Amino acid sequence: MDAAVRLACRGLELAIGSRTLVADLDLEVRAGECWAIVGPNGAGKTTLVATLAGLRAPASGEVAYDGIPLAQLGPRERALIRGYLPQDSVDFFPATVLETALIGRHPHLGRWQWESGADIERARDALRAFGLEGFGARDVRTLSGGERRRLALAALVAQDPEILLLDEPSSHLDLGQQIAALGVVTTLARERGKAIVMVLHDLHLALRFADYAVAVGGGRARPGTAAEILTASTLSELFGHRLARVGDGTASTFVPS
Amino acid sequence: MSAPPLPGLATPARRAAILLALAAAALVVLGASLAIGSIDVGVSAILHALRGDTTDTASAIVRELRLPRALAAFAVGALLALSGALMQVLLRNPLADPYILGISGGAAVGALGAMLAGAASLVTPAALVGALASTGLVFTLARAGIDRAPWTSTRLLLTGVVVAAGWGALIALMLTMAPDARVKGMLFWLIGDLGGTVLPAPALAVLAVALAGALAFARDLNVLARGEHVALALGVAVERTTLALCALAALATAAAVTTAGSVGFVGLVVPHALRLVIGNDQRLLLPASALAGGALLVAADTLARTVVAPVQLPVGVITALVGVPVFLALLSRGRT
Repeated sequence: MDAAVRLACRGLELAIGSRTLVADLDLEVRAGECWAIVGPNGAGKTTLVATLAGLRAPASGEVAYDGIPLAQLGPRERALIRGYLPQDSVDFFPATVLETALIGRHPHLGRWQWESGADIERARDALRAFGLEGFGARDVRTLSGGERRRLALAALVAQDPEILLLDEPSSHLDLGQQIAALGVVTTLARERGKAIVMVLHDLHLALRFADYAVAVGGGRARPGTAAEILTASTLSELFGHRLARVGDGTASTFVPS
Repeated sequence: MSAPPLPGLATPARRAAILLALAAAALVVLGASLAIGSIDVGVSAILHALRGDTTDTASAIVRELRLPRALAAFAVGALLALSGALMQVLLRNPLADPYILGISGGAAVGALGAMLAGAASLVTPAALVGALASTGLVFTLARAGIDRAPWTSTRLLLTGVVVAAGWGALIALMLTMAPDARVKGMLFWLIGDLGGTVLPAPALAVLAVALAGALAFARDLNVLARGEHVALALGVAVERTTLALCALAALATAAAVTTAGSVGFVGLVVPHALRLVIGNDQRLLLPASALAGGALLVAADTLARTVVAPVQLPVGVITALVGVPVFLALLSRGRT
């Protein structure tokens, strides 16, 4: 397979204060690929995905979308190519669920343009995909944590970017919802050639959905295929605790031994 | 052809109906403020007076006293409500108001300083200089960190609150030192008063500019309302937009304060209450706030000059008396 490289970084170094989180990461994410970022708390997973999203500057190195360095892309041009799901969302003001999903259409609209029927249809399709049909008129502040998470995912899907960067998309979701929601997201890669990078805390989700993985920890980030990275020995070293793989096929995970 | 109503989204027809209803209310209140006062003037006499084809005393009162004062009240109310709506989104705080960055404090120090010096003609320019100086000070200090940190809403908010407290101390000092004869005028200015010589044109012009500028960024504000990260990810130039809109809100507030002193509660309560009724889409909320704020202040000022006539109250007393219970009622509904 020889799909186009959507997201690339070269010589990426991430630091917070004087602490180096990631040194010299080279990464190429192609259309249709699903990547998982795994690692212990505080290792720099969120920093890495936010840097790939262009929301913070790396200490050194460069990120490029479709071969164009981020420095040459304005905020709106970036938003047309990549979408970003933050770890948490806060609702400061009242808004309906449909209005919130429509926010994803913002970069596609001109300054004085209103959402068209097609934009609204896209937002409603996205809500339906995450089981939120019939929620359109609800105030976001009355939703449960899991419903808000699925709404944030729906807004991202309504944005329809080519690169999806997700920070813990499965947080607040129960097991069934995790499988359903990540199923929707990864189908975008399989069927529509989107490039997906997601921080995953649950190793069973990484095993089930990721083709590739980046192990972040100990001051470095190591990319590879899922088969190379998501192994008992690599992860045991990464998390500083002996882990054993249980189960088989897609229904497997790692447990502390 | 009208689109079928969609749950969770205001139709264009509903948006138009809300704005038309508020515009009609504003017109009615403006008409009433021309009719009511020491001499009551009928509808046809008002129309004649506005056309300028009568020269009696009633016409002169309508044309030369009530009309400029009502227009100034409308402009000030609209500016304050617009500025409050902008500040609430920019600071991601539904309880923010136009004075939160210390603008009214700076204007008050300028105005009271001019009064203390006995320079009545300098009160308005001094208030303007004070408002702009305070805004500049807050923006400079908010960024004067170790590493020239970017403007964040929290830093702006904290800096504004502290600078406002500093102005408050200066105001108290000036009131203490002022000769008794001047204190009443100073208090009226602080509470907010439209009784002085009033020229509505500058405030109306700033209102037109501020509203047009804010509407151009209304959808960006919708995105900013969901947080800086969401806005950055969706292509809003967060720092530049926040800065530009804060400056616009400061200009609106400065124009309002320069015209009428620091009238309270309009800028806090109007956008807050409207948001509970019509939602938080800034493309609707901003013009609706301007219309409702304008109408409210015209009504309040008409009350202020008639309710205990011949004594004229400062309009800020009325807005506070109405604003406090309304605000507490909104809070107790638990939907802030």
